[in-house]
Amino acid sequence: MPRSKINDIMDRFREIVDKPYEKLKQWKEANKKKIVGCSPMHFPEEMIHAAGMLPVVLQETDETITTGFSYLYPFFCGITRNLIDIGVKGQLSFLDGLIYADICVQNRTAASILRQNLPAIHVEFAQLPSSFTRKGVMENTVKELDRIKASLEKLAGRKIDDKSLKQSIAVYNKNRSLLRRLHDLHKANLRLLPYRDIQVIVQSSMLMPKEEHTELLEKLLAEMEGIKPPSAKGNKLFLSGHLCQSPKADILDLIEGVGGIVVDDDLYTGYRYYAVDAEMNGSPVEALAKRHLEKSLPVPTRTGLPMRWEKYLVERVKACRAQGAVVLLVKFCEPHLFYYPFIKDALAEAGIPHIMVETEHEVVSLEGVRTRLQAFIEMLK
Amino acid sequence: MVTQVKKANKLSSASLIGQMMTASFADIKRQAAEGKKVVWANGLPVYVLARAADMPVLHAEGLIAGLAAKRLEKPFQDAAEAFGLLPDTCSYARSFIGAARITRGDYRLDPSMNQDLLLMPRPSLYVNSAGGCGTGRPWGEAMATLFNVPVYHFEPRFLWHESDLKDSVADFVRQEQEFISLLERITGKPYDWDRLKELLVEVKRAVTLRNEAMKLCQHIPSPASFFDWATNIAAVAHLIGLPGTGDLLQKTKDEVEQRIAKGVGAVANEKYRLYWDGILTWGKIGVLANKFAAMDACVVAGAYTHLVWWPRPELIDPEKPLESIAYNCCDVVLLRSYEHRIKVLSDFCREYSIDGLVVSETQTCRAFNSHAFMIMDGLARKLGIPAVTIGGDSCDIRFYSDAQVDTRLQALLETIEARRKVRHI
Repeated sequence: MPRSKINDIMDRFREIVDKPYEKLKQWKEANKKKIVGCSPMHFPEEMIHAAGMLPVVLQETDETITTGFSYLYPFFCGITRNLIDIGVKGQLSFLDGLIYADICVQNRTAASILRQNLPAIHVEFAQLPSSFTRKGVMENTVKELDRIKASLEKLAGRKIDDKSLKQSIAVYNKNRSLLRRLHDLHKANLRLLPYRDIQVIVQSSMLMPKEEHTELLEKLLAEMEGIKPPSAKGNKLFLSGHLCQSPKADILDLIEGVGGIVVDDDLYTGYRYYAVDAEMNGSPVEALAKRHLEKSLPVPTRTGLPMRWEKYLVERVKACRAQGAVVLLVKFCEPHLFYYPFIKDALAEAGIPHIMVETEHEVVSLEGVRTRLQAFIEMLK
Repeated sequence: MVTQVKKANKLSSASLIGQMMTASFADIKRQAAEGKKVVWANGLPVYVLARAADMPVLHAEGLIAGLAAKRLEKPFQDAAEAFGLLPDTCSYARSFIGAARITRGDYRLDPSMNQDLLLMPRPSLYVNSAGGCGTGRPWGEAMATLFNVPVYHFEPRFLWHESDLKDSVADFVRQEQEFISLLERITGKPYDWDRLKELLVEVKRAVTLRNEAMKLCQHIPSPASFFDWATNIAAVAHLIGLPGTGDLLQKTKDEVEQRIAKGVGAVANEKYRLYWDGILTWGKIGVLANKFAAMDACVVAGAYTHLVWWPRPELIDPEKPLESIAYNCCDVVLLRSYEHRIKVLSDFCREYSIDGLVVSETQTCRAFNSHAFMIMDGLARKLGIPAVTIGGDSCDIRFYSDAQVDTRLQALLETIEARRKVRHI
């Protein structure tokens, strides 16, 4: 494929990822449609899409936190502080709605602070059950999704019927299947795109109208599938962690810059986002509930899953034959903090070397991380 | 001339708590040795349900706060950090996971340490009822994995709308029923509902007496302080439902009434009346009590003491035990919205004649810090009451700085003084 075509498409994706909220504001002005922001991880965007609004998954930006410090202590995670900061500075004011799903207490705090300080935005808090082994968990999930559906209908000024919800699920399933194709293509040709670009593609899917993203992604895949890149030299690594936000591009570049090649991941802005589809049969709300309950990948914010995260991680690392794992732990991410000791032990028991890198909203010292990563790669050799 | 350092006039009945706690840990060990199945639990006292099933309960916050107050928590934290838990993790949870590692034999205690004090009997069940703190989920999962035992997670709803309480209580009752079925499976016996009702009679007596005694601190000077009530949490948390707790709280209330009759205050020369938001640094409870007293400041009420542990005693009906427990686990401050919290706090400020607000940062607890700055700002706007934050943590002493507390407290008291002068102009 002519590289320029790939570059052109990547530029379209990058454009929105680099300045998501400015671009979305422009999109709204041009399209005169409502936009609803969703907190990462657990809320089904399909429901917003079916109401004729644009769902976007809130992204952490690089903006230095200033005003936000008047609302929250520095010992909250980066995305929580960042979203509150840009929210109170007015950068999210173009949103018509905001839906937070109950992930952790920090996420809930952000929902509550933004509700209080952005009165023009309709802020909802979705309390999807977190304990999956409880009796009646499916009914409770459906009940909560129905409640949110009614709330979205009010915001959109129109009903969300089963037909439109099924169509939205189909649109999202298609996009997810293309992202999985990209995932496979990347695994087969590790030098096709730098890993930071894979992240950009997934993040842009969270921010663009899905149909538009799907169209661009189809073109990109068609172009890329014809390329035979040079064979990949380096140490194959698995990236794990970052449950809500994308790792900073600088960190990803560092990993590849010191001789690592990211072969697979379980990041939120990676495999977790597109791994699983919702069913097309039966009630669409139930299909979304099932996707949440029965198809959820192991995640530390939910309990009663069939497999714990550390076991799943070992299986994934082994399956992609990575030589080591890089655990990216967002500073102050408590769900991840609780699992890290188990992950550390499970990887060690499976003979998989790993390095844990604590990441922060404010990048303090990349040089220190570089030295540690270099030492890790040397060790793998 | 030697300056006389003014000390807090602590309630003498509070000292009985320590003895009861020590006796209760010994009793848990004795019962475990006799073959009873032990429950480890964190959070709100829904675990009283297990007591009715004749299962001794080891309560995380009770154990860890008790040890931290005596500065004995460090071996637990060392064990947790050796396991890989970073210091940013909730220090209650981190310490309890450390206790689990020690109990499992994964971390060897120094032979010079008091082994008996730090070694706990293994659990057969773990209960998480973190009451609005999402930390409880991965914490409970970690404990259940370490001991390979079942875990039950109670999930009260966050009360996003005021009207959500009724639904949350109904759902919580369903969870209690499910939990009781689990208890029956573990004990192999039918659940003892009569015993539960008996326990609820004792619970109602204890928490009602405690609440009445705390309300007496609306009196000026306040007969007791937040630090007395913090010590006293154990009576309605770790010790809840155990024999003697009602009597202890009756003694406490009597002592408070006697102090009022004699005009005796918790602080000898009470000039400032403060409210405490957040948990306190348990390892500094005595230092803090004396520090405030030395500055003629009495902390008369607080969120952790007044709004977390059995906040709705009037709704306890021993004939309806599940609903009684549910209301008291669903209507806690951490599950309430900002609007509700500011309303409740404003009421407290009026009822207790509050001059200033002290917000304790509690560095490893995101739940209690969730609205700290908004509460400070909201209260200043609504009632003109100044506030200050002080650093610290529930059980990790490393986050505490005496000098910082001194400076900030001084600043708060000066602000209160300045406001008083303005009022008199």
